[in-house]
Amino acid sequence: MSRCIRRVRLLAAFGLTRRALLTALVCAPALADAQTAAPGASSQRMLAPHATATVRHSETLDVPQAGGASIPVQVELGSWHLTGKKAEIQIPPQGDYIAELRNGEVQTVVDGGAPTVRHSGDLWTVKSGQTMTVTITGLRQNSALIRIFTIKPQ
Amino acid sequence: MATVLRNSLSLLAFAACICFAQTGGRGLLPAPPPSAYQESGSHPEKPFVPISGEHAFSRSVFQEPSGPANTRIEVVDLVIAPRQSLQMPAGAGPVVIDLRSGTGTVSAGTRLSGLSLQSPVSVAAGFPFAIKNPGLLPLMVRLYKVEGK
Repeated sequence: MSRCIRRVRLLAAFGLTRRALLTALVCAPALADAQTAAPGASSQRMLAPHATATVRHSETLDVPQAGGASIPVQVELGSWHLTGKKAEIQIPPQGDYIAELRNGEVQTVVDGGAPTVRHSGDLWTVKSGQTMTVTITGLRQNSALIRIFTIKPQ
Repeated sequence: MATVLRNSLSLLAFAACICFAQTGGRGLLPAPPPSAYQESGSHPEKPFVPISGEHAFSRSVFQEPSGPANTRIEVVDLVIAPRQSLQMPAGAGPVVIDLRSGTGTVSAGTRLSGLSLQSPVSVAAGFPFAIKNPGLLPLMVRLYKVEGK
């Protein structure tokens, strides 16, 4: 008798679990969509192997010129997270941007030029159409964070 | 007689305990002689300078004279003292204000925006603005000034 009651309880529990699983499967894509469409959420994308880009802020601003006319430009604030010690991470052209290294030490080569060692807090510019190769060179450093201020004419 | 003596000793011990608790058992060391002050010899490349008449400091950390679309870009760091605000004059171009540390608000005209790490605030060209630090710690922001040429 007790075995029978236990079996009934098990079946009921399985039924509930199965129902919950089905509900989760049906609702999961909708929840995922809601998360990606959440306002103010920063977008993340793969920039290159070992490099992920995140955009925190994007806006179009009018810049008055000397003649009186205004030129609309799109400005973006974001960051790149680079991983992989000694790996040469090649960043494809991203428009005009100002980069700032936030931690450690890296070596950069902009458009095949001379290698430059950058330390935490250093700022530099990369022009439109230029590629940049970044190598993490800091001692016991496996990742680097670079803050980016991008400006694109509209 | 013995009771009076015991009470007096207890009072003395109590007073000593209070003094010890107030000073932590330690006092200030005597000031060192002026010859003991030695500079490190290394100065910051871009030091903060006080803004006259304001409880704030600024430093220009980067300038790009030839930006895209005939623009000039300047990156400026500001530090605003706790419970103080900084009035900024209208610029020739728009400004993007990015929070680095602390808490603060930006007001431009009738608009009031809170600063957070995830949401920088921009001010259009020609608008004076004020940055307020309501917190108890210094507020540090980075300004990206974009000006036409």
